[in-house]
Amino acid sequence: MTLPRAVVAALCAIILGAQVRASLPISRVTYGWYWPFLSYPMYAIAHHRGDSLVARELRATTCGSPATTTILGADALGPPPAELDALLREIARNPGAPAPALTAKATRAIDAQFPGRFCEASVWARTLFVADPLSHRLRAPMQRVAAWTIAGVARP
Amino acid sequence: MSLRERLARHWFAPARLRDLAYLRIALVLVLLAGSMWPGKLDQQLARARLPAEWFVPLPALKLLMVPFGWGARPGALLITVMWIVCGVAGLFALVGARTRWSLALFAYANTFLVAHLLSYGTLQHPQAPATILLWMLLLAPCGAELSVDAMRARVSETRRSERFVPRDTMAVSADARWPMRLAQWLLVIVYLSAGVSKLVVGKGAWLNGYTMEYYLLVDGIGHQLPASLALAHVRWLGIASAAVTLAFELTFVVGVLRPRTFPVYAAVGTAIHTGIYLLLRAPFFQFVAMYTAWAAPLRDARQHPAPGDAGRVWTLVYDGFCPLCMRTMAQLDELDGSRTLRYVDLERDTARARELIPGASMEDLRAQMTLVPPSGAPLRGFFALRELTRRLPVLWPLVPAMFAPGAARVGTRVYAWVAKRRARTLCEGGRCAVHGGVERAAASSAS
Repeated sequence: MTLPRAVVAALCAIILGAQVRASLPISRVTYGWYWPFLSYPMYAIAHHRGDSLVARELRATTCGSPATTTILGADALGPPPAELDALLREIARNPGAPAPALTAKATRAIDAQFPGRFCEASVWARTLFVADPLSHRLRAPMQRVAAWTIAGVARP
Repeated sequence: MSLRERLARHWFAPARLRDLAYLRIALVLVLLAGSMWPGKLDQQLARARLPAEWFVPLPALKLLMVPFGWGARPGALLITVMWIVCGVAGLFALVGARTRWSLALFAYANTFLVAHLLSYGTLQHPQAPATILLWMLLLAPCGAELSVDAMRARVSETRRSERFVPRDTMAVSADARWPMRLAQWLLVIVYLSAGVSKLVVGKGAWLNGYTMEYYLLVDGIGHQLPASLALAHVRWLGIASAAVTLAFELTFVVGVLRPRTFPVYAAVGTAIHTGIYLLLRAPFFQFVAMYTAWAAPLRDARQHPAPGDAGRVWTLVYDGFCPLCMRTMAQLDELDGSRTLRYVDLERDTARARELIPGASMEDLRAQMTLVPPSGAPLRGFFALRELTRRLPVLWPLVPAMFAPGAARVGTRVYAWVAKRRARTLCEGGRCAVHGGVERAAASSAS
């Protein structure tokens, strides 16, 4: 099949034009509506000496005795790592009393992957600082910043 | 030359169909691997099990879901079916079997799977430009070379004409250039978007070394990568890698405008993307696969001797009255991208055959094909075939089997068995060849 040259030229112009359009305006956010036409601000945000980064984990404790605690990463739980981390960040924002809507969302995700297995969940975190000596900070223990029970959360 | 003529030449000057086939193979291979990688189906199914509140369908997914209901969410069964279709159609598209149909099915299923994975809030970049290009390849003659389709057409032509005629030039087409140009300019825009974003969003601070340290720490901890954590605090390395990356992204367009420079860009880009994968676990190999759109400058950079150079040409002497032998020669000729093989028909060019292999009788030569190297002893039968798997890159996957312990013993027996049973009947100009020589067709039919 040979397409007329004008058709090919128009197609190429549309595709390249759409790609340029998707790249603008330059921003730190990736616009996804027109995927696979995307902007590419990957790793574009600059960081400085002393900036902190928080590593977070979701842990779940099994029901029954003896109870065991498991780290539930994004692979096990299903959502993209950035989405899970954003949820954990929001839950950890109010350590004493995490927002019920957020913990319920995490609970429903746990329940969807491991129905009835876990009775308690918690968010753990540790903070690292850019330019800190590697060995000291990386061995700092995780600290529990939020916890809640799992049973009885209704599906939306 | 006017701008219009320059543009026409840039986008539509005849290009090798084989180069377009390389692009097809590279794209399909890397996208197929991305979807079929162990654990990928589990990842798809885990996402499908998440409650609906996590699901934010991309418009692309909605569009692909039209046959199943607008806005519907794919379930485990549909995802599994798509995964199987993607694998099967991808393999067919890779080898170029029913290329257009298999490529269309693969493009649909693969885009569906990627769009589903990305419909949970977070976008990823690696597959996007390759996906655009994959759909555009449907409109190009990307299966005209290096494909089962091309080989079948060639073999059928050989069978019809009852004679093997080697190609002396590479097939070119005006339709082969634009998909490669599209790939090139897509990558230029993508890299430019990445580079300018770093300058605008990160400003000069992006080069301070701490930025790279931050990302190495984030991904080193997230993916438990000791090398990333160890390198995070080597500040000069952070500054140097940031500078190289930025320079690469901002000047990548030079690789299109001055193709001779592209081998350098290809080497740097491959190194950057490999480093990003090893240290940040971001797999951008789809971008590297798109570098095959620069097949011509990359080929020139290898500085091979010119095709036909006597120093590198190997000659195959084959039985020109044996249909199986001619089909094999047609297939080898299709696979020989660098034109390193020459062919001598034993029956029609006997003098040349005797000159190449002095002392061998006609019966000996008919019994097995012979591969004559530029210098050294000729290789016969299985050993000729084995050497060909080493010489033709497309056949490299067969090398381990051909050189495995015991392969020579089994191979020579199998070759002899096939050679003994092959048909050797061919009619040409009123004469038919049979097993022992040439006889009159009329006499043969009368008896």
